[in-house]
Amino acid sequence: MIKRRTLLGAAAASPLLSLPAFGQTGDSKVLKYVPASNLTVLDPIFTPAAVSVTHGYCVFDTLYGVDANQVPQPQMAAGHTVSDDGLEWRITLRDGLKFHDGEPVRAQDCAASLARWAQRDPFGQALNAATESFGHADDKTIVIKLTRPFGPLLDAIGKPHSRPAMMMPERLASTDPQTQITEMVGSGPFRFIADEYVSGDRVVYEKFADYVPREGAPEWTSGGKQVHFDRLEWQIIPDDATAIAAIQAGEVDWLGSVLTDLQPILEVHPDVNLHRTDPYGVMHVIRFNHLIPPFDNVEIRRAVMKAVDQVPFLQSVAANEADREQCLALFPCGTPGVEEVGEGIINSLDIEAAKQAVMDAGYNGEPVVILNPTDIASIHPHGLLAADLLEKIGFNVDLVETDWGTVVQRRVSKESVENGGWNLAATNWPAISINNPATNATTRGLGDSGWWGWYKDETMEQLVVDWLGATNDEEAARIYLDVQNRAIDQVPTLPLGLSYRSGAVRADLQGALQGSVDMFWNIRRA
Amino acid sequence: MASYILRRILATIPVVAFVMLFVFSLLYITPGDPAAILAGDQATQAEIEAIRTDLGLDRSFPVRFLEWSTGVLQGDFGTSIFTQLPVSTMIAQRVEPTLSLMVVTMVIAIAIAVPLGVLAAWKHGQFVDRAIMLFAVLGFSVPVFVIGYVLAWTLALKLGWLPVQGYTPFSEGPWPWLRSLLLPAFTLATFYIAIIARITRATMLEILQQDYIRTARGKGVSETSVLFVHALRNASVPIVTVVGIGIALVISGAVVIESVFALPGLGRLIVDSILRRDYPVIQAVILIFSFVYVLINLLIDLSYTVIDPRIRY
Repeated sequence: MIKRRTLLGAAAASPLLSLPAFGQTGDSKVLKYVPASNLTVLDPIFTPAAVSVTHGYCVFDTLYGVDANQVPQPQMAAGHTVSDDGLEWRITLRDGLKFHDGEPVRAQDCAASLARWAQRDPFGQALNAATESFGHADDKTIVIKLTRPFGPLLDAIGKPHSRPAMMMPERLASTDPQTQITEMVGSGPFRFIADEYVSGDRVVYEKFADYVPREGAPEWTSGGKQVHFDRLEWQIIPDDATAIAAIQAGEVDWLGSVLTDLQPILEVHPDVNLHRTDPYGVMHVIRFNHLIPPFDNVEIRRAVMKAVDQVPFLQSVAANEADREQCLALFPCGTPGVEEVGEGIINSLDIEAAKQAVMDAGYNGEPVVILNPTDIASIHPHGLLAADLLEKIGFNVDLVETDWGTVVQRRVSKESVENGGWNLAATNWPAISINNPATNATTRGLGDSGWWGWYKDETMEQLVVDWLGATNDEEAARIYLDVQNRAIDQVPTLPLGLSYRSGAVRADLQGALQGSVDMFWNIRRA
Repeated sequence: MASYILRRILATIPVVAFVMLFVFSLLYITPGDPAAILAGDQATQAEIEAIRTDLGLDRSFPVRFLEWSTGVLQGDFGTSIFTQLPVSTMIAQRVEPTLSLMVVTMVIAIAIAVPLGVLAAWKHGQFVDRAIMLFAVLGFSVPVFVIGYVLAWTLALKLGWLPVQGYTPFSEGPWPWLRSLLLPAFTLATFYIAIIARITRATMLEILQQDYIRTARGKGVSETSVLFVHALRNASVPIVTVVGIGIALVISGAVVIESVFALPGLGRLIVDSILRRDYPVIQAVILIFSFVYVLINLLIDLSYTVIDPRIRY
């Protein structure tokens, strides 16, 4: 017999049992994306942060993009001409380009954008040093006048990562390069919805109806950027496990990054596919401080490099073998023109031999401070492993474990270790952002004005100048190889190999592209 | 009473002033440089210096403190170093989720904990009492993020009843709003259920030994009436105190829960800001939290006069 209480209980419970799966997108016109980190800086010229680049490619467009072989291809540009002496470049804009405020894109806008970019970006600074002016001949023609030939000009203005040269209206591009731009008006395939932006929670874009895509298939940052969603919503989910649960539940469509420990969960999930956007991966390095002992001594740096086995370093950040690769070079293996010139040098000594080499090089027992951020999962294990290795080969190690904010502050100190300085710090670079002599900060020899660690090498800098001025591919390739050999000989930085990050995409989405960062054109719901 | 309230409100002024100076000083001496974080990994020292100058971080402590405190007194908390948004805008965007989480958490906690505590006291020494106290120990001991993951896995991922993460504003409807909060609020409430149930039980046990309770029972008053009218009302002062402290503590619990369930509240805002040394945001949020703490304490003290007419200020 059914009792009254049983009936009431069942009635009360029935709405709960019939609840739909809450939060599942269901809306085929909205793409929900979870970036790997919070978007705090909107200006993609101000910062090289990957998340700002991803945002930048939504809002802005570039004169040139690159294809899968990293060859520059016209994007906003219809084409270009170069004067016979190589000192004047004229770039013509495509027809019909508009900014999100309805204004047409003019050559004046692009010239101002290039001028600002060239003051912030290292590749741009190299171009700037060889440039007389960024100007225009008319509304459709940009004119770049050089003081000396600059072979990789299109590579520079078409670079796909770490401050790509993105075009803005002249009124924004005239902003001081040291000041962030917060008004987001570009000519890219998506329009930024400022009213819905909540830093740390949500970034919203709408498809830009007046965007004119190129003809042809998209490839990396070039080709036809056809958008198949009316709205793109970024949701910031700080906890990796929560993000994994959200994509399994169908609450989001795309995760920009999946923690290596959590990948097995998604590998077997029928409704989610892992997606590796950047095929070149991330290069892990340990930077020496070249200003103070003991790593101001090249023999000691060489001894350490000869003792390094990259395998444990890579295993500590990439669980799957397919997600890591040894790279015995200071330039990222797999990118055009890179050879493993460190073969037979890196990891060529066992512990005892390395210990002897360190002593022979003149190490006198001074403390070696390793800065290690405990809150960055892709760096922290490398500090621990470096400390272990250095102790084994006879160094007096002082491992400073602290948070990232403290590391970046202390890392710029040029003082002795007793006065707050440091000797070693691990970090990593998107391989695509250090794939040539001019952009690879880990090998540049600029000294005080260069990357922290302040490696000074005039020979290297002359090679960079020669490479930038190379007039043909053969000459450029030869100089590039010289640069790689010089780097492995002088050891400005310790190479630890490459790892590859995967994101995850719901199985009903097709057309996710490869590129330097996640891009939201071409993708569509099946 | 009015003069008491006025005195208490006036007393908050030196407290808040001290908090302002303390927080500013603490951040000033804390290692970390927002200019270096903002400049990024590629930055040269010259670029970092230029940003530091642009942000005014190279100025002396008194100049910066004076400028900030003057702004605060005028209702201007400054601009975020990273987003370049006004801090007041960022805080306004985050208040609703945290406030909602706080309210729903405490409603769940009180609705469950007080009856449990009364029941445990009534069934003192019996199986029910021990079961409730076992639950209380667990709720007290298991970290909230563990409870959060287990509940999310069960109720959201496997059963699909509730969302895994995210917050739906109240403006989109009370039911979607409540559903987005149930998991995080219940997770956070487990701790408060445990502590409030224990306090309720302990206080009720003491009250139930009193002569007037025996008298009430002797007069034939129903057991429900004895427990909830005669005993519980007299046990209310310590319970309200714990609830009040609990409301204040929810703010700290929100830091973890908002991260686990991706709620865009003040807890997450302050964690993110601390990690990247966004000083204006940290200072403003801590200042607001301290003000809320003071206010809650005042309200608790005032509530005593309502619960117990013998208390007068």
